[in-house]
Amino acid sequence: MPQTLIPNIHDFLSKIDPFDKLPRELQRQIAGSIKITYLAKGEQVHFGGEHELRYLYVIRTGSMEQRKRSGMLRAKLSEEDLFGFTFLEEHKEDAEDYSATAIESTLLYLIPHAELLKILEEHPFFAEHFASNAQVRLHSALDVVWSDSEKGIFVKKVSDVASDKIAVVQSYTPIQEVARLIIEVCSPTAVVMEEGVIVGVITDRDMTKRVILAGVDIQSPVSEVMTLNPLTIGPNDLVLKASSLMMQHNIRSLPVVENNNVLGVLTTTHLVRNNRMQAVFLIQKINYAETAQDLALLTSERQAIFEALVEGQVNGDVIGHVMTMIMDAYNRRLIQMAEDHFGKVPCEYAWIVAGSHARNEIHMLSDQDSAIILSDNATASDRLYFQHFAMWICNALDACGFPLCTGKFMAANPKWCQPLRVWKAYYDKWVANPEYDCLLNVSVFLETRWLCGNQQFVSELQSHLFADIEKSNGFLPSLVRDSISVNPPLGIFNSLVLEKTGEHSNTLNIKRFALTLLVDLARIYGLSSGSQQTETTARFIHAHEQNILSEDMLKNVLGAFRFITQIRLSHQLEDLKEGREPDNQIDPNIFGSFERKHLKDAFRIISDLQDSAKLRFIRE
Amino acid sequence: MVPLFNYYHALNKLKRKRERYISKYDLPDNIKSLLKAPLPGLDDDLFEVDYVALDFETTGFYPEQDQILSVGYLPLSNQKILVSEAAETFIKSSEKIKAETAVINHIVPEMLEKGLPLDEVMDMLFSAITGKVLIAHGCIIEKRFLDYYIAKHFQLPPLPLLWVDTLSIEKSLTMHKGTHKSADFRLASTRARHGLPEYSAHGALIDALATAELYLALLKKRFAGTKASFRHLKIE
Repeated sequence: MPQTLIPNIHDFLSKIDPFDKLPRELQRQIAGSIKITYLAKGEQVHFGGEHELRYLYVIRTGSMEQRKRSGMLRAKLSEEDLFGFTFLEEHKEDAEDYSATAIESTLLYLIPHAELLKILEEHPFFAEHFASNAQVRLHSALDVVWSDSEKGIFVKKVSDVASDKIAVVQSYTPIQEVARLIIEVCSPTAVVMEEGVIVGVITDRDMTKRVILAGVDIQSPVSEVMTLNPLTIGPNDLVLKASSLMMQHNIRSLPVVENNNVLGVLTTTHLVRNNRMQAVFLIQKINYAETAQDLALLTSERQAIFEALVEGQVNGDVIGHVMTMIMDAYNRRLIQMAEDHFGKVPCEYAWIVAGSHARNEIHMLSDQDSAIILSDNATASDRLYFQHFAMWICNALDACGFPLCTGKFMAANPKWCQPLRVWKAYYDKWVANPEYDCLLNVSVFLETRWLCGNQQFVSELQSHLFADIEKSNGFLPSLVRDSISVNPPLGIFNSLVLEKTGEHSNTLNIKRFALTLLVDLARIYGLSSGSQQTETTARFIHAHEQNILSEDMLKNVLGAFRFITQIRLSHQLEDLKEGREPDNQIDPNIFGSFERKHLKDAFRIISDLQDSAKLRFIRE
Repeated sequence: MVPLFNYYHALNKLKRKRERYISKYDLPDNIKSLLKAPLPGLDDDLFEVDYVALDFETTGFYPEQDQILSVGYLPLSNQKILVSEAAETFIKSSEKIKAETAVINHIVPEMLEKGLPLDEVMDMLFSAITGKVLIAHGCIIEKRFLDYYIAKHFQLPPLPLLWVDTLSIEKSLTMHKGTHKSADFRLASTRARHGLPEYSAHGALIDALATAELYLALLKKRFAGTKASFRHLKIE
């Protein structure tokens, strides 16, 4: 019997990528081979075992989500989306390492894998559409489609993108004169100065609205119509940060300013090269998310950004910054939601982040480290409020793919949700008896960063900590002793330090044996040189500026840190791509001679720095 | 109590009816194997049974005066509708079809001229539905025309076939909500209620496909979280 056509199936398929690239005859052949199934909400696709046929899936109506075995969201799919491309790649054994669940009733078209392969074999010219698509769909989540140029712009510095043309006027300059300058300089914004300090900005739109529409005399001083206390951005900030600020405050231009010197202006025209850019604005989406559930759905986009950054060989520091900004956005939005949910906060507080989050070193494995500092006049019922408040936020962050801290260093733990005076007492105790109390407590909370609430609490607590450290003789030496008790695996390729048993046999924990050591050393050098900075790189640089770290050593250490960070991030990317849960366990056998050499160098540098620290800080 | 219950279940009644039918009448081979194919059991999983979804396009409601224009059907098994095994055939007819039917069905005499004789189409249909449960939306029309053909062609009484009807399942589902009086049970409207896509085209095969999809959706709704078996399904 000749194949019977069902026009509506063919019509549907012929409109979607990549089938739209095929000639009509092949489209028909594919349309004639499909099977149709229907999934109720919550139902999973059965990928079946060896005996069952494999399919490429096309969502006809409804929506689905894919999750990795670890539970991590892989993609959210809706009408016209396809999945199951992995099957086309030489029968990968682990192709079904994710599950696909209908999140509403879904009508699903199944195109038998064998049928597609047969067609593509006969028409190899079209195979590429499917192959390249498989790459795209595997390597980044569907919602985030970036072109390479778009990917690039966010990790550039503001100074690379901004225009250096900006009108600078004085607060007494007449409005008309300002308008003339704006036109002359071709800048949409003028920065208003008063005695060498920036006091305001005015844009061409403001001119229309606040001058023409309001009927203000154009000879009046510009100070009458300008925007006070304008937001600005530094030349070395990331474009991502600038764009996020612009989105958040709904402004179209940001003056680029360094030490009160106006260097230029960054406008949306510099950013919006094409409308697809909207898709990458995860941070904006976070800010607009209505519910914690909405936020949780953004995980795959976050992961795609991470993957794109690592794949693009972006510097590890920058990746850490970008991922931290995103986590900050999640955390802030959830705090706002919690404030709405539990009602007005009953007393003053500060939400602080600690550990790697405070150091701006977030990656795909980072868990939560947070705390709350309450006002000293907080009552027992206030503390109860904040416990519920923090519990809600920490759980919601967990649902968004930021796991709960295994050491329970979280605001949700009553121990870490305390009034300022208790926090001060904690630090007094830790610094005075570092051996007595678990040093881990201190090291997590030796890096804290304000996120929300009363910023004064955080700076007061930090000053208190620095005063404590300065007074103490034994604190830094005990940090050093603790840190150098673990040594970098100099003999890594002689398999001396690899885990011997269990799931991770014959692998090296790159975090424990390398990264943590560097982070610890940076903390020691940073604190001893009085640096209030939290980032590993910044701490080493500060130590060098204070002459306690030689230039040679600084360069070596930064190089080692960068290299090891890169290795760790690439390893996580591999894990994600293979559908494994990312971890820190590196198999040394995968390295070529280039990496081996560099890794050995890096370990040696860490070891040298440990020795220097021992000499400098432990005077035995 | 339970055995007695089973005894009077429509499915078991149908089984006995089939046995009587086979022993009582002298049947042509294809009808015999159609009726000898085993029926599913009361506790068989509805999702594992083999079905054929079926639709006839006709010139009207009454086989005595109207004719079948086209027959479309496709199998559904293991929750998968097999488009590759779909069939749609027009029926060659000497009689002129009514203009209004042509408009409704988008079937013009030229299409029917290229069609096959009714006997041939029916033979193909009988072999396609052997061992299958039939699905139709408002199966009364298909049943009527099929029975009429059987009577005329073989001088046999109506065939004891197992039908499930998406229209009557939908009715029994909405009855619980007490809204059935005003409800529109046409295929397209019922599908829309269950979030299934609108099919602009019309024809025996598209309607059979639309019915098969609807049947899956109805089963999932009717048996959400419980075992789907014939014991609890309305059959015709």
